[in-house]
Amino acid sequence: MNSSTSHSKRFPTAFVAAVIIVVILEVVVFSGIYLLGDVSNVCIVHKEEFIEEPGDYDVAVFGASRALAIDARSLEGLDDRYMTVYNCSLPHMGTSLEFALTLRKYLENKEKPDVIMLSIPPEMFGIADKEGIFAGDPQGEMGRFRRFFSCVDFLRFVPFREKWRLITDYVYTLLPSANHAFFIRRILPLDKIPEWRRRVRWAYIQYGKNRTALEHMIQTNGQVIYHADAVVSEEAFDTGLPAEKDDRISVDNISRVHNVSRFMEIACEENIPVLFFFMPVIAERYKVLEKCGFMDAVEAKLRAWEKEYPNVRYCRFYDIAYDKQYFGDWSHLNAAGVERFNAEIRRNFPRLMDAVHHVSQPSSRRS
Amino acid sequence: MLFNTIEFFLFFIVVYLLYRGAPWRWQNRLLLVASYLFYGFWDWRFLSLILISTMVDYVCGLGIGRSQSDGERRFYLIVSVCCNLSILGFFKYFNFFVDSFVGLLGGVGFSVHPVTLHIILPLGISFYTFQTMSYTIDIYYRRITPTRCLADFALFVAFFPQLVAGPIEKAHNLLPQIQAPRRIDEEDITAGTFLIGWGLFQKVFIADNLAHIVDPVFAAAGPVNGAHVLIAVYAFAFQILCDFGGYSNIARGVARLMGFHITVNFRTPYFATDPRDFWRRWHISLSTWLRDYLYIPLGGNRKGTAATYRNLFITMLFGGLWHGANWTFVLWGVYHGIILMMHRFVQYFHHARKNAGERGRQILVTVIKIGMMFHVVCFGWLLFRSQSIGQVYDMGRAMLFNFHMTRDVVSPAMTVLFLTGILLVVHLGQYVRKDVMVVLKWPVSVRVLLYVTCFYLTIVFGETGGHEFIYFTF
Repeated sequence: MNSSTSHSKRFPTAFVAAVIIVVILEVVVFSGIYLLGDVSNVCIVHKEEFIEEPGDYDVAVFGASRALAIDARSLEGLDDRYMTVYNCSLPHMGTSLEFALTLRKYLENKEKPDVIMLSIPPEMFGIADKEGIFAGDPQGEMGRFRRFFSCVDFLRFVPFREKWRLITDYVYTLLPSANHAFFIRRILPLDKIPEWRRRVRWAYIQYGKNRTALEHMIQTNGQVIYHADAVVSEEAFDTGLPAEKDDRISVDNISRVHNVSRFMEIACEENIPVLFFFMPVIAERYKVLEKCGFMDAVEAKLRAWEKEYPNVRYCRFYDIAYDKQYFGDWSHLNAAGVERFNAEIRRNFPRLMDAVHHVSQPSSRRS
Repeated sequence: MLFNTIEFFLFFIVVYLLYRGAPWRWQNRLLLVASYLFYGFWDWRFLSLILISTMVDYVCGLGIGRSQSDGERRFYLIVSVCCNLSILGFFKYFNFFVDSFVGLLGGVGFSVHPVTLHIILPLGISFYTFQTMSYTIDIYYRRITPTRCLADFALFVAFFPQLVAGPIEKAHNLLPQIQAPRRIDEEDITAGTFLIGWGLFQKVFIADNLAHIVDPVFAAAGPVNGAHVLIAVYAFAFQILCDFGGYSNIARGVARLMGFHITVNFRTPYFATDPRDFWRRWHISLSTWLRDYLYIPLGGNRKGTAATYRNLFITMLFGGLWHGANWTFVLWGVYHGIILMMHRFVQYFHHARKNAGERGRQILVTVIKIGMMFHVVCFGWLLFRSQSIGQVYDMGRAMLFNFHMTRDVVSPAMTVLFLTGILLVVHLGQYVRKDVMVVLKWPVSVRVLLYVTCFYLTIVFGETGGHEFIYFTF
């Protein structure tokens, strides 16, 4: 077999043409592939785009996936002092560190909000902060993280010792096709080729749902409703909610939520009042948390924060224990729950704003 | 540092930019330092073994070249071969032989408790040991003259593109390229780039994905469906081809970008029509090494029929053992030795007339031969991939007596077809045109389609974790 004949005259043409086609496909096709994923990913990408744009909102809502239920648009105009509200909550964000980084990114791109509303589930106080970034499930956390934070963000936010690993592991994800390959692989898994036709049809339907969800998010300033009429199943109820004691959360960890403290610190440094409140919890779970003294310990922690950070106010303005009929799964509200909860916020919004409006705003943290 | 990682990409960019800007002598020094860094990235301690091999063969090479008497020449050759084989034997085969000996004694009723050494297998030791041995043997047979430049010889031993998994270069091919200035032309750049891209596609998309079909079957604890075993063996046939062939292509591509032409290691091996043809296409650098430095010195086919069979058998036995310290590799070598002997035996009685019959019939006969040979090779892969002789028996039994074409067989079969489709088309093109670089002669539109398709298959479906190459363990 000959391997050394002259053959290269046409190669650059083909190579250059291939590069041009790849660039076009990356921009036109692969940058939108996230719309084939689940609604959480659509939310992450949309909010990344939102946060990177310049803008000015009077109130910014931060929180985990449960806080996506807040309809920010419906709060606008309820108080004359606060006419614009946006819900920056993010789903799938694995560690509380990500709240702090999200706030930092928000403040770099947008005007300082007059008030921040922060809502994280009580359980998050019971899970020990991971020491390093991506310390728990590096692949999973990084996957979520890189869809929200850019490569430049990584290099700025991530500790020095982690930088090289990030560069070597994830530089290829600068390509939209590589970054979103996860979604394609989920629709077209190599080990289920006979199902591809059916899965492509499902992806088409999912695409339609995601477009609707995206439009809803734009109309409501960031709201996502995970479940329409669904009510949490008994099976999910059993696995997600241990009846007596949940070993995954511990009172001992409450003093170790350093990354929520970082969020408070950033807000404090910027003189932004923070209104902290809990999202609703299934009544059965609430009983477990209360019975073991967890809720009391968390509330004590929040009161301590109020003293430490003068711009922080913890408000318990409604009964957070909701009946399970308001939940689509063991943590997220369904449409009925979203409606009930938003009604509670709307009813209390002026009062809540009063609470933080009168917060003194010193330039530094109390010792 | 694996070829399929960003680390290697960055490493090579830096080395290549410095290389292109340096004069020839400095290029060699730079490549030597880069090669040691490349190897030291895994475990710097084993650099000492490369340095020992380098020094021993450098001195022995000069000794053989300087000596006038045959006795003195033979002495230096024996020193070189013994040193190299001792290092290889200790690090690769010590535990294997001790365990086998203990097992043998246990079989006849003696209980022995030997000292167990936890010996780590140095990466690429089989490759660079054979490469450096070829140098002293070639000088002994007066095929080449020894080099006086230690740095050039050290680079010949440690040249990073092919240091850890070949191709095993012979001194008369690589050393002259090191000793003379290289010219890098447009053809080298285009061919090198293509080889790197094609090699990555073979490794990251085909081989690493096929591993997901192969590994669970060979790791299964209980009885398995023979149909799954069959699919896994087919999958492994392509996994090992693309894993090793992919590495060889990347190595050739990297070397070619720097102006070096290293040996083509695979030439569409699954299009072989008989066992002899297979070994002319599979791991060519090893098979030619064994031919030149073992089979021919043993007498080759010059000392009668019985001696020829014996030499074939011994050569393939050592070929099997070279792959690893396990009886399955020995069995694999014996198997190939036997089929080569059988083929030679059949050929002795049956001289097929070439170009006989009409073209359509010729093609049909060739296709049948290729199909049969592929299955003969696949049975060898069953021996090769199994973790023990017992597993070979279990797998073989499953294929004969527990074979069920159930619905769950369809999915892995389709995956194998999906993963290997483009490879088969390219190999068919290479086979028909007898040119491993035939792709570069295809029409622009076809090449663009191929490049874009391969790129996206690699990016979207490829295994990005930087999986090790199978032959690193040999």
